[in-house]
Amino acid sequence: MDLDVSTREQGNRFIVAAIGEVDVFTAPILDEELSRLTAEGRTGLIVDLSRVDFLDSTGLSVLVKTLKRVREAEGTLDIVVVADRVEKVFRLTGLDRLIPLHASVEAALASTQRDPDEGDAQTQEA
Amino acid sequence: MPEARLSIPPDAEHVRMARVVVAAAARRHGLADEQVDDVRLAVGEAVARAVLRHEAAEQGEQVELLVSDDEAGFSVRISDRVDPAQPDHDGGLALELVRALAPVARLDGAVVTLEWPRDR
Repeated sequence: MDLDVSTREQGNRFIVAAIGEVDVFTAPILDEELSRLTAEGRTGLIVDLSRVDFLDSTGLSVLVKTLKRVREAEGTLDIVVVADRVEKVFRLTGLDRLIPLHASVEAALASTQRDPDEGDAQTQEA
Repeated sequence: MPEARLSIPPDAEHVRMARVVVAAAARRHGLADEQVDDVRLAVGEAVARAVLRHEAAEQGEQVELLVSDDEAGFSVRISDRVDPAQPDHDGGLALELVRALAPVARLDGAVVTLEWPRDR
């Protein structure tokens, strides 16, 4: 198989890290994991594609499906993209306007601190 | 290499091989790295589309690729055997990407033609 997918929890986010190529053959692996998480109510998701060097429209379709489920549950979906050729797929399809893209997991975690109470706690003076 | 032919079974697992082979041919033709990436993705989309059309129609014939590399440029023709009237599974997303990636992209019946004309 040319794609490995693993999930870890950090803060109140679930980070789904993919390694390899996401295409018509391997996208079902990513789909299965994201479907499992959303079905369990885990809808604060970061999909880490920083070690993915190929992504096609079947991979995009999985992410769009996940976005719909996450929004229905008032959750969040953020994507980490490093490779230009992967970022380009989001740009050409306009998906970069629907799903926030980040250059690192740290940046994605920082941007998804949307809970107001949590935000206040983070910004209070020392 | 004026022309090379590749036939793959209509299974998702073989799409990667088509991408790898055609990307290697594009590099050999002298396309820049970014264009080779475009070729890889456009061909991957077109071949994946053909494979999914075959799966939807429950047809087992091979998907055929014809790669041409000459003075006019680099071109790839992807042919399936499915009734062109059958709609795509994805509402046309794959074809939309193909058209955004290839300088010339045509759909004639069951044949998708992609061209990267040699410039200068």
